[in-house]
Amino acid sequence: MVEHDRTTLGAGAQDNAAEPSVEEYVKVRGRTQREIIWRRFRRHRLAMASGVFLVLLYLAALATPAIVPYEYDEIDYAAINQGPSLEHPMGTDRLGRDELTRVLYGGRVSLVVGLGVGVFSTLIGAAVGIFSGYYGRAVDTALMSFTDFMLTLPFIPLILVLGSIFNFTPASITLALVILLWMNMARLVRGGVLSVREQEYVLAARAIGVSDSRIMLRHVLPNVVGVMVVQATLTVALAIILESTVSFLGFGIQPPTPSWGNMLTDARSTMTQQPWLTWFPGMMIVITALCVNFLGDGLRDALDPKAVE
Amino acid sequence: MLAYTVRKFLFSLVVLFFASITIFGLVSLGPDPLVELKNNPRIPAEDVRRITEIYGLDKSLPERYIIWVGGLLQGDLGYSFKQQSDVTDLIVPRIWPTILLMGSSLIFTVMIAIPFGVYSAIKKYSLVDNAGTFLSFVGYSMPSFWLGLILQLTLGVYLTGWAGMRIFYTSGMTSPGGGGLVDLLQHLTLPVLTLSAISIASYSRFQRSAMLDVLSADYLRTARAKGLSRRSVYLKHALRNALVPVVTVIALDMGVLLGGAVITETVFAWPGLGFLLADSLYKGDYNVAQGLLIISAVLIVFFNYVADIAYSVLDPRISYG
Repeated sequence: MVEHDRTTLGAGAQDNAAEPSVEEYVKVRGRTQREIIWRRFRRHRLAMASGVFLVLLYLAALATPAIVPYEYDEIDYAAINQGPSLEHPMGTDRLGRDELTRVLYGGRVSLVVGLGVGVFSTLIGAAVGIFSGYYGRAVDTALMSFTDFMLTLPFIPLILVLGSIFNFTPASITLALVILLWMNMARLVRGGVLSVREQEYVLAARAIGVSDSRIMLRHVLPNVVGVMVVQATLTVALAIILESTVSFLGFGIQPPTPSWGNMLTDARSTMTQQPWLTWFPGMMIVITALCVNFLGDGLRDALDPKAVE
Repeated sequence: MLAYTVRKFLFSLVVLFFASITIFGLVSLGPDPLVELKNNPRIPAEDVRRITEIYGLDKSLPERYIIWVGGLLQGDLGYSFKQQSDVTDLIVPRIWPTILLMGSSLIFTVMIAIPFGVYSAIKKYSLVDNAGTFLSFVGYSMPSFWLGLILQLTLGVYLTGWAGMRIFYTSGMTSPGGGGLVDLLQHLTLPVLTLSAISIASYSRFQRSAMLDVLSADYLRTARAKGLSRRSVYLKHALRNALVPVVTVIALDMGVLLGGAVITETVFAWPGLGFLLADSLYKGDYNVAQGLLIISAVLIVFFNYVADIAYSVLDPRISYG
């Protein structure tokens, strides 16, 4: 698979920053690590805007039943196939169901699956990567051979077959995606651990008798957190796209539960007559995934330990 | 070098062995292929038992696995109960359309992405480069099935209405009755655009970073210092080395091609292997699905092997240790 080259969008701005005055320079010295990261992140405007948008989207998804005036399965034969209007900002479908309501409910599935896959594949990948990198030798060989093996499985065909056999729910599709997506995280974390394992401060910690688990958590893990966060955002975006793809093909979340993918399956048959039903859910997928990717780009710059303030 | 090649080959065989167990085990969790016969009250139990025996379904799972692998080694992918046909016979006519679609989109992708990536690296942070960066972000965030739908709507339906004649077809590979090369191109364009758009986003960025790595190398400064033309420096000295990682990535991507094919071929009803997989799953035909899974596993393992070897051949700095 292609490792996405995440070129910095905000890099230009950083180069043009004016030379700090003496007072500013003194202030910079006094900043904590957390402040430095936050300042760097804020400078990446696209990432900031994406972060704000995603927070709002998650809040809207949480509060959907309370804020929308319709139900996702509320059929209104007096209002079928209407284009976007004030009453129905995203129009209605062939059963008169409000598209905006359905998009928000569908978003709950995508957002929960995306976040769930991001969190759990990070936990599993990080655990495998840390053990593999820290213990090395036979543990490393065994874990990395298994990781390489998992990477050679044809994962799109496999997930379709899994979906067709097990009838995915949001929970089970999350599980399936975690099983198929933790490997890149494991390899990245292992690489990071290998590069810090031989550093003097780790040796020093070992010499004074610090336990293995404490060394891993306190001395090794913080060094690879940056890489992990970025990989996690990539995984979230990928999971959102894959969930919608599997649902679109009919092997994911099943109607009547709306998801952005299965709404598009429906929309497809009347794409020419009601194009808005194809535009809105698809644009939501693209915008959400794009925001997650921008967020990752901003975090990558902010968490880069080699960057100078 | 030979030892390295042989060891990688043996590792590939081991991987394939485990992949075949995984695939066989997974599909055996699926529904009983004879469930319809068994639920039919008009078919006597005796007949069901005989049919089960004919298909070898009375044997234990390990026995069935060995029979299946034995068949695979002789090019026999099994038998489809649903479609009353050998799986191989169902798969063979679908190979050429997939190769045609994937080959065309690979050529198109490489023709656009590599020059664009090289240009972006040479003119780093220029307007073109920044636009490319932004577009590649959009590309990673775009589900290919939706891009396909949008192309069908805009370049298919709307363009046809606007031009007053059919320019691009939105489904199938040829018009009924056939129509020659132009007709084929009219069918091929939209699926190729769908597949290429997202690959271009990632390949061009990959080419850009590979080129940037090379551009900062010492031997390139030497080449410039001794007064070679820019053209010669970029194309002869830089690009040659910057192509190595990209060639490897392309080889790796060839392996996962069937995964991408499922989505695009289903959207455009392109009669290839990917559409066959989706179609057989809709029909609940797991015999065909199992055959296609093992084919894609073989493709991935094969191209991973090719990429490994290509990398060590093309880049002499890689050790064969």
